[in-house]
Order: sequence, then structure tokens, then C-alpha cells
Amino acid sequence: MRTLQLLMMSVLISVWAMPAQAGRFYETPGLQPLPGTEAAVAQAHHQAEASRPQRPTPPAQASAWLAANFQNLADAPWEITHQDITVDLQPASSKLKITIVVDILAHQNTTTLSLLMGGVDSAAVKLAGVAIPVQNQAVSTYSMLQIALPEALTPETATQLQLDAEATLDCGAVGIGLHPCGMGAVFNYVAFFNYYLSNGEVMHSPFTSDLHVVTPAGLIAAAPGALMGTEKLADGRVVTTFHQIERTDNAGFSLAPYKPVDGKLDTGAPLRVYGTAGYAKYLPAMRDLAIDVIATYGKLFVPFAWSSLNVIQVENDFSGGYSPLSGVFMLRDEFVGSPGDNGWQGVVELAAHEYAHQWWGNLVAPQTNADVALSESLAEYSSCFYTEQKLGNRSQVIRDNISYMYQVPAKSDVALGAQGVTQSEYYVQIVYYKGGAVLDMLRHFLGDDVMAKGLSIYATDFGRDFAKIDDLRVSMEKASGQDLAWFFSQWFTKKLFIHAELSGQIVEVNGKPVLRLKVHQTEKALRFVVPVSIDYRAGKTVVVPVDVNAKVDFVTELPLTDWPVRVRFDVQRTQIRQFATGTPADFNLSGLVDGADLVELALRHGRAVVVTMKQGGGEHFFADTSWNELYDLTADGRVDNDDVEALLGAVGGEVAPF
Amino acid sequence: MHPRFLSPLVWVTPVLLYCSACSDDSVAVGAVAPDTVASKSDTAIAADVAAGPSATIAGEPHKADPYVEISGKWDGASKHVLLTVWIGGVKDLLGIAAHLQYDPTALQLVNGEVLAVAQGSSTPGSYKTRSVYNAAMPGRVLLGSARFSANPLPFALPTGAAITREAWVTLEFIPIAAGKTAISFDPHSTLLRAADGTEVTAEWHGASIDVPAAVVSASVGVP
Repeated sequence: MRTLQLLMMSVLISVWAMPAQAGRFYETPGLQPLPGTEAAVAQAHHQAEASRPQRPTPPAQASAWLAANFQNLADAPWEITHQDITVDLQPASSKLKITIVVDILAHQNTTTLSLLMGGVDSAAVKLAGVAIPVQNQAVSTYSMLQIALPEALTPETATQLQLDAEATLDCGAVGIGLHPCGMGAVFNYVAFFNYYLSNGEVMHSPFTSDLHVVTPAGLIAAAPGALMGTEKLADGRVVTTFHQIERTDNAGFSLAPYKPVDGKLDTGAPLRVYGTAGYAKYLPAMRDLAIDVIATYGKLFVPFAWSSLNVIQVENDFSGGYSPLSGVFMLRDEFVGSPGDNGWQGVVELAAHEYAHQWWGNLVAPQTNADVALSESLAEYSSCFYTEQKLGNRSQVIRDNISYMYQVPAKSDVALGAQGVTQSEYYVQIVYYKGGAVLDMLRHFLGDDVMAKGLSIYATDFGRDFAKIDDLRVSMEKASGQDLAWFFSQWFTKKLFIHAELSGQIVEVNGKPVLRLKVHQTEKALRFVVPVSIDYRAGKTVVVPVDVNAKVDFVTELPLTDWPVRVRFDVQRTQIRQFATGTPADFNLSGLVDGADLVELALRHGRAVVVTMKQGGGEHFFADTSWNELYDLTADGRVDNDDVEALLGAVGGEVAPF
Repeated sequence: MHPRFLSPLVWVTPVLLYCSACSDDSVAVGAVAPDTVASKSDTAIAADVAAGPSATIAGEPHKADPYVEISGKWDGASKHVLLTVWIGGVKDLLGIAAHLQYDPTALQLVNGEVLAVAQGSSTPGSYKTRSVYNAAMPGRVLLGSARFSANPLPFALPTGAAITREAWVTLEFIPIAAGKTAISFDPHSTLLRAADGTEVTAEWHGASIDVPAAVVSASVGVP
């Protein structure tokens, strides 16, 4: 009898003890990625991409005009119809001489012109060969040129101005960073120095442009746009001309001893991959990758819109990628690799991100800095989708997902669609990583076909125009027929992710097994869909999506066809979530902590998102794509021996009925 | 020290039985009651049987690999039923688990141990077996073993162990009621998992124990 009492006490203590351990969440301290890992490389690329100067907000008057006249060009007081730009780079002094002949068509009487361009040391303007006053006002890294016209422009009459300017480029030290320019032994490039004239009015001008690049003998000029030909100068240099059939305010060019490789996109548009001789053997793979990515996106969204695409290799100090209209600049070492090589995944991830910008950022541009997700998040989502489909793994989107979740401390988080998101110290983690994962979550909610249809509608409705995040919502609603206000409100206007305790137990109802599932949200109550994987005997798995409503506690029952071997949640990490188990250590949801849970733990032992470097190297974030926090019983970012001990201490514990 | 090691007789006898099983893995010698098979290795068992009345243990022999099965013997000195759970024919074992069921009104569990079955591998020393043994629930013993890397790294995946035939669990019961009683594995609880995470389908065989009234312990009450 005494033995029985002891046995019963043991069981009772176990049942009582389990809920007390529930709901342990890892608190993110904001660790940097482990050096040398894919996460570290990707983060460096994206941080470099994100480090380029943001366009200053147009003057209030222009902003008001934009807001009032969006999609209504006829109301613009004037517009640019063509820009003819000549750039002459002096690498030794980092000087850039710029001559722009700009064709203006006024719609109203206009006496002054405000034009924005990259910061220049000097600017002079001529009208019909006569110099006219111009004020050069520095705004951030830009110059705001205020041009006082001698007399008002006559409505609907073309006027031509010539602007001569000289800039001293700040190319930055060699190293990590997406520098606006680089003057090196092999590559001399100017990436996103904004030599195009721009402004609120110009943003809606459907102008064409020609870029003439003065090219030293022996070098090849590469730039976005269709290659129109070369013209020899008297001093032995040549002028290489690229034509853009669409409005753009951002471009770039590079000079190097390129040995280009040509191809053709699915639309028939010419493709040219500019790489140097040392990379010749990799260039066909880069060309084929570009063709496949562009064709894939073209089928998913809308066909590639531009008349050409030039992919341009630049020095490694460029660090990331940059994708103005019809051109893509990428760092040198992204041109090393072929399918099947180590590192090919990284090449594809970055290239597919940059090619996606031909749609997201160029075809449809974000209207304000708060809409930057429409450029970077959509590009990252597209890249993740491409790698999942073509490389057969979800490592990119899972890495993005956990890189946001385990790197951004709660106090530093910013909503994806917040005005200040571009200024956040965690801009990359929020806009690229969380943004990509949010759209991946939307895809899982809507399904692949509806998601693609929605993006196609979005690209069609807002192509060659500016859009707000809400415009994306409207497009997705058109495609799905569903009200998605909850999703966009939840994921774009709030700074949060899912914190939920999941409890499950398999019970017998009328002789048949039923999975009883309880979700307890410990922070904001969100709506989300958790895929529940039910593993039966003989390797049969059924995945049931469970739509969890936005309430603190949610309980449901799923009928089962047999007693399962185990039940798992969100195996493919489709949600941005940190789960904790409401039934600690009962990993398979049998209702009892037993040996099967030990076996489940063995499968995950060693997985970690926090690693400690030897010799005082400190703790770092490690993007372990097999990470599953449900097995981290001690909530320290590691599934290690502490968790084994915690499980062994819980063996025999039964889940309290709910 | 584990109680099983306190009595030299109890210690030696299972070793003999294990060896008889190991010598011929085409037939589950150890899974068959000693009074139904005449073999050299059964001599010691027969001596125990000759000492007085005994319980007989009949295991269901496996037909194919991989398998888990039970063998057993009567220990005349302690008047205990000694069972061994065997695992065999597994190529890449990461872990094994099951609930062993018995009738607590017929048998009283007094001892049990999970052995380090999943430890051995092509990388000896780099893995350690951690085990679950819990007999707190009447009539149900929670069993489990799994390999854990001694130096887990987040980018390293686990490896499994090749098991030809090894003893996994030993159990010691006192018969407390006469008659036939079964020892079995709860079919909802059995699990063999390979290092790549796949479930390994295996034969799981229990055993029956026939307890004559003469061997029932008078000193143990029925819970």
C-alpha cells in the first residue's frame, strides 16, 4: 500500500509540475550573426544594399502635389520628356563630370524649376546657349538645384536646358559597404550616384534617356539600358551609349576590361553579362541563371517590362547588389560558381533578389519610405520563392524568418510599414528578413496560385507607377476574394510576431482518436494558420492547417484516422513565431512525457540559434534552419544537455486535461 | 550500486542466458521458455528448474529484422522472473522507445534497467546514450533510449548506430498471482527512429508468463 501511495504521488506531482514549466520564450538580446556563415554573408549584402542614401523627401509642396495627383500626370505643372546624360569619370581624382541636356514640357506657366540630383560641387545651367542663375543647395547627399527662368515657360511648348556639373565622389574605403562608387585596379564604377535629374514632378514624367559613358581605351563601359553603340573621340577614348525607354532616376555605370557574355531573355530582350576574363568560365552560369529567374518571375507576375537587361560585375567592396531599371550590379565574387557548387545557393539568393527588383522597385516603385517593403520585402520574398522552387529548399526564408526573430530585440522592433523603418538599426532584419517571411506567410495562407495572381494584379495595376502597401492589400484581395485587412494590419502596422504556447493531447472520443489542440497567445493575440503535421505509422503524414483566431486562448479538435506516432507544428516554419510548449517535453503530444519524447529530442539535439565562440569570442546568432524552439525547454537558444536533463526530469508527467 | 548486482547468482544467470541468445541469432533461443528447448546453454537454467517449481516464460520469436522481443527465465534462488528485451537488425538507430505493459495484479515489478544499446557506432565515444526508465504507473513501464552527441554542433546532424542484436532492457518481477499473464508493448507507444528522422518499422513481440500457484510469493500483497 505504501508503494502504491508513492507511485500515485509521483504521478500527481508530475501532472502538477508540468504546467508550471510552460511558456518559456527566448528573449532576444540582439546578437550578430556568426562570422563566415551564410547568414552573415547575406546580412552583409543586404546591409550594404540598404546603406545607400535614401532619396530625400521632396519639398512639402511637391509631396502635396504627389498625394493629390497620383496617377494623374495631366495635372503636373511640367514634366521631363528626355534626359541626355554624358558622364566622364576621372578615377584618379574620383571626379565625375556630368552634362545633362534635358527636355522639358510645361503644362502650366512655370518660372522656377526645382531639380534634385546627386550631390555636385558645381552646377551651371544654360537655356538656348545662355547661362541662367542656379542655386545649388545641399540636401543630405543630394543637391537641390533651384533654377530661376528668365521668363515663364510656355505651356505645351518644349524647352531644352543644359546642365553642366562636377561632383567629387565619396567612394568610401575599400571594405564592406555598398559604396556609391569604387575606383580600383580593375573596376571603376559609379553605382547609385543620382546623376539623373529628379523631383516630385519628374517622378511621374514618362521620359526616355540616353547615357553616354566616356570610356578610356582598352576598357568596356557597362550600364543599364539598351546598348546603342560607341563613338570614337579624338583623344582615343570612346563614348558608349545606353538608351532607356522608361523613366528612371537612378542608374550607374562601370568601366573595366569586361569580356561580356550575351543571351536572350524569354521576352526576346537581349541580356548581357559583364564579367572580366578571370571569371569567364562562370559567366554562362550567371547568364543562364538570369534567364531562368527572369522567365520564372515573368510567368508569376507580369512579363519582364524592359527592352534589355545588363548584369554587371563590380569590385568586392561593393559588397551587395544594386538593381536600377534594366541593370543589375553585383559584387565580383557573386560571379563565382555554377549549379551544384558550394556557395551556389548564396549566388542564387542574391541574384534572384536583385532581379526581382526589376519588378519590385522599378516597375512598381514604393511611394514613400514607409512603403519600402514593396521594394525590398517583395524582392526578398520573390528570391525565397525562387530558391524554394528551383533549389528545393526553404533555407533562405527560414533563415530570414529566424534572423529577424532572434536578432531584433523587442525594444528595437519597428513595424514593417512604419515611417521610420528605413532609419531602424535593424532595417535589414525587419524589411528584408521579416518582410520576406511575412509575404511567405501570406503565400501559405492564400496558396501559391492566388499569391501569384495577386502579385500579377498588383504589377499590372501599378506598373510604371508608385504604390503604397495598402495597394498591395487591395491587389491581394482582388485575387483572393478575401478581406485581408487583418493580415496587413497585423503584419505591416504592428511590430510583433507570434508568441504562443501550444498544448496538445490525443484523446479517445467514441472509440476514435482525436487531437485536442490548445493555443495560448502570451503577447498580442494574432490570427495565424498553424500547419499541424500528423505522422501516422508507415511514414504517412497528413498536414492540417489550423486557423487560429485572434484570441488569447483557442481550442479545437482534429479527428484522426489512427493513433499517430507524433504531432508537430509548423514543420516548414511558415509562420513568424516563437512557440513554447504548454505541455513541456511532451514533444509528440502523446499526453505523457516518455521515451518517444527523448527520441524526438535526440533528433534536434545540438540545434542552436545562439553559439558561443571560443577564446572570448562571445555569443553570436547562428541561423540554424533546422531550429525548433519547442525542444529548447530551458529557453536559452540551444537544444543541448540542459534540455535533455529537463526532459528526463519530466518523464512520467501527464498532460492535465483541457 | 544497482540492486541487481547485489546477488552473484542473479548476476551470473542472466549473463549465461544472454550468451545463449547471442550465439544463434537465427533463432531466438532466449525468447523461448527453457523447458521447451533442449540446448547446451540451457543446462544452467535446467538446474534452476530442477531446484523446484518455476514460472515459465515464453517469448514470441521474431520473424524478420528489425525486431524487438522479450526473453526470460525463472530465477529459482530469488523466485523472480527475469526478463530481457532485445533489439536486433537495425541499421541506423538513433533511438528506441516503448511502453511495456503488464498486469500489476499478477506481477510486481521490483527492478529494471535500460542498457546503453544505442551507444555503439562507427564513431565510438562521440555519442552517449540517455535513457528513460519510469515505472511509476502501475502496469506500465516507460522505456526509451537515444543517442546524444558528446559535442553537439548546430551544423552537425546526428548519426545512428548499427545494432545486430543487443539487450536493451532488463526487468525483474515477483509473481504475485497464479496463472498466465502477458507482457506486451503498447502498440501506440512503440518507436524506432533512424538518425535521419525516419521511423523504422519493426516487429515488436511480447511474452507470456505462466505462474504456478506454488511460486507465488506469499509476502507480497496485491496492490
